[in-house]
Amino acid sequence: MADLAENLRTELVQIVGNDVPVEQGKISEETEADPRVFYGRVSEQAEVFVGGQGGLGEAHFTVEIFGTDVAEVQDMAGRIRALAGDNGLNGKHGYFGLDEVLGVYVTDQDDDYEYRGMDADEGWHAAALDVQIFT
Amino acid sequence: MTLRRRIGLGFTIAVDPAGGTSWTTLGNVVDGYKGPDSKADKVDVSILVDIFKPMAKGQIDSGEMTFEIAYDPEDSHSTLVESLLQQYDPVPTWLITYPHGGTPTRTFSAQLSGRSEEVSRGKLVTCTITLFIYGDPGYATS
Repeated sequence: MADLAENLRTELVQIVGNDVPVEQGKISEETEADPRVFYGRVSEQAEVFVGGQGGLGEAHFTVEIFGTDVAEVQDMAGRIRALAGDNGLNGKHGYFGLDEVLGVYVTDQDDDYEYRGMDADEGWHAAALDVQIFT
Repeated sequence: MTLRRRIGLGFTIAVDPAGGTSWTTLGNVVDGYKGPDSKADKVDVSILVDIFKPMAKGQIDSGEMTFEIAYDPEDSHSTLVESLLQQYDPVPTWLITYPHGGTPTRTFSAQLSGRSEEVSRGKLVTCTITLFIYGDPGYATS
C-alpha cells in the first residue's frame, strides 16, 4: 500500500502532465520550473470507535500551483478541481494512485491562505486548493 | 468502593440472538450508547381530604437504549442487527462490558425495535439501533 501523499502525487501528475514538477514539501528557492506544483499534508486524523476499532480516516492536503502565465495557472487549478467525471479530483472515489479511497473533495483555499511553496511572489501567479481525502 | 472515573473508550456491546450467553461483540459501535431511560410509574393514591396529592411509586418501565453502528450491508455485524429487527422469539440477551477495574458487566434482555440508517456525503455511513429492555435492565445495585 503506497503512502497517501504518493498516491496524490500520482494523481496530480496524471492531471498536469509529466513535464510539470510535482513535489511534496517546500520547493527549493533555486527551482525555477514554470509552471510547478507544490503539495503538502496539512492534517490527518482517524476516527476511533467506542470499542477502540478504527473508523473513517480523513486527510487534508494543500496543493499550490505556481507559474508566470496566469491563464496557465488557473487552467491547471481548474483541471485539478474538476469533477472526477471530467478527469479531475473532485468527487473521485475508488482507485486513487495505487490504492482505493472513499472520497476526494477539492475546494479553493480561503482568501487569507498563506502559501507554503514560495516565500515571495516575485511576479509569479499562484493558486491554492484544499484536497480532502477520506480513507 | 471508590469511584473510578471512566470514559466511553473501551466499552463493548455484545449480543446473543438465542437469548443465552454465547456473546458476539459488536465491533462496529461508533460512539457509545444512550439509555436505557428507565422510569417508574407514578400512582396517585390521594383521597378527597388530601391537600397535597400523595404519590406511590409503581412499576418500572426499563426503557429504551440507542446506539449507532458503522453500517455496511456486507458486514456480518451489520446483518446481525438487521436480522434481530425481524426476530420476535427468543428475546436476545445483551452484555455491556465496562473497561478497566474489575471490568464490570451488565446483562439484560432486549428486543431490537428500531433501526435508522444515515448516509451523507463525507460522513461515515451509520445506522442507529434502538433496543427496548425486556424486564430487568441489570443495573448494579451493590
